[in-house]
Amino acid sequence: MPGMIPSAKKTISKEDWEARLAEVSVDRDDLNKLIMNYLIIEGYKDAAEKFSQESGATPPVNLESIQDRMIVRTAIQRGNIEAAIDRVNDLNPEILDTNPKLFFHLQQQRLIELIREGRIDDALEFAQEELAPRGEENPEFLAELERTMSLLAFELNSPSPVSDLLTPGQRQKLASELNSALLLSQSQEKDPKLPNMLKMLAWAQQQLEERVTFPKIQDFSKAELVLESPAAQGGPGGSTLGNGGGTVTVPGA
Amino acid sequence: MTLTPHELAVAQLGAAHGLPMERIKSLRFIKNNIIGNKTKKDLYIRLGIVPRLLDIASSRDDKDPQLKIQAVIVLGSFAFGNESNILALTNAGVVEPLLHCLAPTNDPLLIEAAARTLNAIYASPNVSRHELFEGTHLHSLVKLLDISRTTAYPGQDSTIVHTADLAASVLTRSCELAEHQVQIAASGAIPFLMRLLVSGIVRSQEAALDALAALAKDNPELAKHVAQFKLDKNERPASYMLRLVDDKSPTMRLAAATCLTYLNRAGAIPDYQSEVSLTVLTELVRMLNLTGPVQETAPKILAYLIWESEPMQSSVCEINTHTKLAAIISEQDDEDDVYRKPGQKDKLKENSLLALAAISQMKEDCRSKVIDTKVLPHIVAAMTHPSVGVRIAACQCTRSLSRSVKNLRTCLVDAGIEEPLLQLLSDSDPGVLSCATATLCNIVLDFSPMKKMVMERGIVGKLVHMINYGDKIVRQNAVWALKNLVCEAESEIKEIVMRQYGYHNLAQLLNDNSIEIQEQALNLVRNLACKREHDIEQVFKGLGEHRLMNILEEKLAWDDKRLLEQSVLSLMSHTHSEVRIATVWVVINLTWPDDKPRTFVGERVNILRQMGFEKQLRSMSNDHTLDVRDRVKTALSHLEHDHYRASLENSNGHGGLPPRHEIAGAGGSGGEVTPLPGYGRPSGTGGGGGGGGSNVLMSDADRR
Repeated sequence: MPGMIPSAKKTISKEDWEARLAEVSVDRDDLNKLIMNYLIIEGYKDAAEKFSQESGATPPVNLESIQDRMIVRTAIQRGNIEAAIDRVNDLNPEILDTNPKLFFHLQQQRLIELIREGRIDDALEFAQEELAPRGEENPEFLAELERTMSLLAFELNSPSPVSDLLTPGQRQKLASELNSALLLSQSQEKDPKLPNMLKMLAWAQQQLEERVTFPKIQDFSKAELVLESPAAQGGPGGSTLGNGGGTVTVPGA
Repeated sequence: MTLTPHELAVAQLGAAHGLPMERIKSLRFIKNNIIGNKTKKDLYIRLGIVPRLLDIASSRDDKDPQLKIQAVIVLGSFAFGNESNILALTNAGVVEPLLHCLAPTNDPLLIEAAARTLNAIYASPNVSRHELFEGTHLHSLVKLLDISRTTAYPGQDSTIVHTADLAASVLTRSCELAEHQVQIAASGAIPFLMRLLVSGIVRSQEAALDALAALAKDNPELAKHVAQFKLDKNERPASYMLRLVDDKSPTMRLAAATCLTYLNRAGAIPDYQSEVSLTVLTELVRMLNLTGPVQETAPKILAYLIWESEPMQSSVCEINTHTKLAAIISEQDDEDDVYRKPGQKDKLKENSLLALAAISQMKEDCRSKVIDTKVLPHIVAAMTHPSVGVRIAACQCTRSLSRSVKNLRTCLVDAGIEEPLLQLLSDSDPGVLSCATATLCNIVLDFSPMKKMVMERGIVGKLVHMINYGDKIVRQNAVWALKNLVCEAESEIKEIVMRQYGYHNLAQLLNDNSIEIQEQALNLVRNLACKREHDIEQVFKGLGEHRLMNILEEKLAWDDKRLLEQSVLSLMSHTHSEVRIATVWVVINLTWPDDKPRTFVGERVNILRQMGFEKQLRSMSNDHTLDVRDRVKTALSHLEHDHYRASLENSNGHGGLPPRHEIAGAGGSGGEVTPLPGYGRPSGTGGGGGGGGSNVLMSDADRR
């Protein structure tokens, strides 16, 4: 444990640290772009609009395209898969024709929703007509199809090996997959840059901490520099970022 | 009888049925049914939807663009189905109306939809591209590449940019013929593509790289044009692309590496930038560790990059690429995955085999390293693979490996390649045949233990049949194989061959339409005649003394000035002394005093002198090889004023007839510089210069 021998570590005072930070100049435009990038990819259209007005940063894409993606995401999250499919086909009819896996996952979700609604006959018919041929075309889908079908063998509300398929997480996963495909088709990054930079910051702090004691950011939403007393060390240091993506909140958005 | 919703939707498309709104609704219903769903696509085609869509797409009524847009989108979705869907579309004649939809005055969404559909149709190599190159279509398409048009369409930026990507992709898929490449470039596509290249938009950059690659491929002139384009701050495209080889997106890296490969192989990137090819090479090798389409395509590009380049083949070997490739090939045979679709990984196998073939093409130590990976049984198994591409690629491997005497005598016999090879000689695919016959050339050499085996299996009759009925390449290779079969062979074997082929056929072959086949036929005559007196007599008897002499005289009379200049004069400073000697012999033979009047020779001497031969010869007087210096002395003496005396001196020296250069008399296959005469030469003669071999390789590789 590096924190065990505090006497061996140098301490950098808060003033010293802030002076050093002040030497680094970060371009304001770059910062704005970073935030805009986050807002757009995560789909905060209104925030992006406001931010654009206030900061003067021009959004690199048409803000309407954010709206489209959000409509698709919301439809999936509500379990309205057909509406999502129709919308995607309007946005770009190529996506689902060239992405059999994504298309399969959408159909799989439709099946899950039918089962959830207790429409067993419809579910069976749908599986036979729509999903079985996809499995024939791509045998790699068969395992997943089998797993989904076994939902029919269990009580809906009791725990089972496949109950994860009925969780909101399953819809969430599909919504993200679809969002990525839409972003890709618009030549956009599928992951925002900001969370990665925060992860990098957390990692860098951790690395530095092994050698020196310095004022670090503990709460990313406040971004305050805190110089810990050596005894208090060994905290989690940015573990809230573990699952990346949407968990990070951006100050001021 | 009640109609299914699908039948109803098709019925409602008819013009007689109601409002455009209703028809659009039906189209959207159909669209959302067929996208991603191959079964439904087939169903609707069976319901006869295509002609109805065609009616809408070609209607002149533009009051409501939505109707047309939706119809064109639906057509596009069919094209994403399979080959027979595409055929159903093209047979109905959809290409022409789609091209009309590209006209710049149309609704941008219609143009986008049409470009997408056309692009999907052109994914099939079997669809003719000729309509695109007629009228103003190409012009319209090239205009779509211009992303600065966005200013004219506020709020539709993404449509304009996406259309440009699609247009670039359509062009990429229309570069198969050199004349099409030229036409596309002449329509002004390159500057627009360069703007896409530096646009910073991922998709557009990839599309531009693909299109530029397709334009430069095997086209030195266009490649040069592309390479010399000036980007911002006078930067050259190659250095910009080199940065993209380091991009974080694997597809971008592959597109950039491919484009640089084609520019390099077309000679457009100068030698001093050889680090370009090394960077590209390293990156391509690294891609073998990825998965999916990038891993699948990388070995094909790698094969193309290192083909006929000894140093690059060595470099690739040094970083153990062959081990990785061998693992990819072997793994697939060992894998037993019930969830894997048959044929799914065929392309990966095919391209990996091609890369192995390229690695073992020229260097003996690379060949041994490939053999050491124990991949040979898998190669032999792949020779009978259901996929044509895999069969060709496997055959290409055995062809490269059989260029070594050691391999011919040991591992190739042990692996039993002759059996599948004989099977490939009856293959229905012309690409397989040309590769199999080329491999056979090496198998039938005199020191090959497989020679006897294949002869017992009736190979001579098979080859004779191929000479009579094959396509040009197959015929050429078959004559080549016969030539190698009789090379240094017992008189008995020569007689067996000629009994089956017949001297009258050989005489015809010597006047074949193809100059390459004539060349091989002459080589065959030479090998038949070499070197026992009995053999010579047989040839004279077989062809008839008079006829033989006439043929030879006719062939030798071909002394085109340009030929002399391009080949002989330029080769006089070749690094190999044997080549230099051969060129000097040409001069000696051309200036040999014969029974024709002295003025005739004098005239030739004058021509040669004017062309600078005398000057060149004098500069060779100090050649470091004694043989060269000797021949130069003789040649110069011929060019001196007193031809007559010079000729007398030389006649004494050589005993009468001016001998043709020794290589030709040695019974080999003529001028082969590789250690073994006749090995794999077909690969080098497919076309002009280095492109020849690559042509053979890549056209096979592209076959679907």
